[in-house]
Amino acid sequence: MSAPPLLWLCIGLPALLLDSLATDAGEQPPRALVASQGSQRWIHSANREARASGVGNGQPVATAMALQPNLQLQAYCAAREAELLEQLALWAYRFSSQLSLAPPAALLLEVGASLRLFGGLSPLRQQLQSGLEQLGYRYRLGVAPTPLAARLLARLNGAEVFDRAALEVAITDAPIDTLLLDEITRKGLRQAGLRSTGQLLQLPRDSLARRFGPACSHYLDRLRGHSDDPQSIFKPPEHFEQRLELLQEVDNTASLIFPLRRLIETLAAQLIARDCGVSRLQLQLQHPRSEATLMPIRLLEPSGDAARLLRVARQQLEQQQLPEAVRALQLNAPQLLPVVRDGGDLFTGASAGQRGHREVLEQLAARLGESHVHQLGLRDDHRPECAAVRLPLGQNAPGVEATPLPLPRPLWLLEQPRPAPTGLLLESGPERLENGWWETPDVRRDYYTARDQQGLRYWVFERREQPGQFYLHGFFG
Amino acid sequence: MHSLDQLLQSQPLLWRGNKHPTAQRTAPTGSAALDAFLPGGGWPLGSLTELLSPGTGSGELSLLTPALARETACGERVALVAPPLPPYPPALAAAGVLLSRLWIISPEPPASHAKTKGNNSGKEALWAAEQLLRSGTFKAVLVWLPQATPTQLRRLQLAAETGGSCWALAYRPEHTADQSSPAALRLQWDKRHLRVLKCRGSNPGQLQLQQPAPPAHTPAHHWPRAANEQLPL
Repeated sequence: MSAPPLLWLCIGLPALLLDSLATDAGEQPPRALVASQGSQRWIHSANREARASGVGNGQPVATAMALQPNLQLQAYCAAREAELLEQLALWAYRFSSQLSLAPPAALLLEVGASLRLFGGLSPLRQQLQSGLEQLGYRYRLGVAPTPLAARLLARLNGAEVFDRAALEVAITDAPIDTLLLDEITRKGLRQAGLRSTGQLLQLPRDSLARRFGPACSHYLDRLRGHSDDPQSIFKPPEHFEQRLELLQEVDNTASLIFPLRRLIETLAAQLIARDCGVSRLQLQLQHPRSEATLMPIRLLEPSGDAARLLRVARQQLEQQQLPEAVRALQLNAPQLLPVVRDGGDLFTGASAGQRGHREVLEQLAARLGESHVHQLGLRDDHRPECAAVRLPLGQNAPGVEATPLPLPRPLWLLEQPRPAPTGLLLESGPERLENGWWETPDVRRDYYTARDQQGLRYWVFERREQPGQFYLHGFFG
Repeated sequence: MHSLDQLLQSQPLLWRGNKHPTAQRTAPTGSAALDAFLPGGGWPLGSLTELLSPGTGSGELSLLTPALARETACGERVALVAPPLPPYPPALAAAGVLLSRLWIISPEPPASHAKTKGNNSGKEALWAAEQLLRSGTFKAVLVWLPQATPTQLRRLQLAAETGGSCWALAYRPEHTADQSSPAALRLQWDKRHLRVLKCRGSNPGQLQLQQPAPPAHTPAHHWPRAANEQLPL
């Protein structure tokens, strides 16, 4: 079976940065991004509400403010835009592994190989569209056999073209200004009286190259698929790190749940795309003045389930004391791990809605603190205090269960022995226990089981150094 | 009226006299005498059992270790929530409990006796027990509740019902005997006798049990103190 023909889908994001600032899908205030150079400041881009009152790209800020006094201004940041584009690329990775970034604000996906999986282009496009709408980005799509044509169609009208013959027709009417040529070439073409791409394509190739340089004809070759156009393929990173700036400072943890959910959903989307999970996360709550609050989030096994991650993170966040208002959240996952799928038992497996024991223990550990949920282990040691170990959660219990001695041992052991109550009756003993010869001071104890008048039973010892002085060390529960 | 009937049928929120008491599923206690004594023939599953005990050292945990040993040996998970002191694993292992299937949840470190946090720790213990019961992935959940209101106990009872086949047992102090409780089975242990305070079906009264003695340890002749010696303290 031959490989499916290449088909490129371009997602154009005309207002990537502006859309990322929107907090909800509802009515937005007029908002614009400001670019600056030296003392000059001009509108880089404006949202629909701002454009409605006459604010346009390239206007000086003073003019824009005169047109719309309520205009909210934010600085344009190219680095932030690149970051957003990369985040979106991670999200789009689920649709195609052949994905490349087309800065400043477009993504190119090779979808020819994905059509079989999604059952055709229109189901894929629907999923893509609903996903983008959920994320709150405005977008334009274009589909074509070459990457440049996909970008051109996304800018034009969102047409879908599947072969080169149809492509020639589709681009005939494209204005010269929509071509990705440098400004000098476009100006030259306009001055030569050319308006549409169709007119440009009718010109003899060699004279076009002579007049406007090889870049122009090379562009047209790549656009029409006459020469190869290799793309640098996007590679998702092996770790996750994302920061979310809050619009307003937040001083209670309950209001942090919503932005946190957004971060975790982005993480989960990346994990699904990579078929990975995480077991350790680091959440940073960044404050305007004080040091960032660090919150480690831990799962017992790698998981990529957004609901599960959120449940644990939420439990922990609710316990967190905030020293100060929070300005930004940052979520780090240092390592993406393969997910262990045990598949569960077909017949006796937990029914839907019930969670595995690991999830429950995670939740308990998140709320009560990790040291408060543990298991017990034995150590081969004759000293009573040393025969027991606490095994922290996630650490595997010792494989071999040590054989206990047939000696009286209490079910409850005090961490520190204390003076025994009076009026005890010794029942059996003694059993002499000494500490190691390497330890100082030398400790020798004679242990007895004892009973008081009420019938409660104790494990007591007498120190050889202080005969007659009895200490309580445990209870026979 | 019809929908009320349906509700009563589908959810065991209200105990009705015509319900057959033997429908109760139980887990063997590990002792033939105790099995015969308890209504249903063992520790009840899917409902809350209360055990009122006079305190640590009364053999209150030894009553349950045979059942815990049996469940852990079957590969089931068990949890102790808010034990009053650190449980001592050598003794648990000697009683046959598989330590790898046992989890300890201690909301406050047992050593600290901070009075101010006492109430809070009780709430956390209730919450933890409820989560464990609801998940249905733990076969036995033992919780120590020095203070608990009937409402909180009802939540546990409901959680036990939600969890399905989970053995939920709450240790409570003796003086709570005359308080009302939503638990399906209430037992009182006084170091020798196990008395049923409340149960579904007919009340079997009380059972005298030998307090499980620790393994005998014969003192050698030359040791300074003999057994059964009254301390001069």
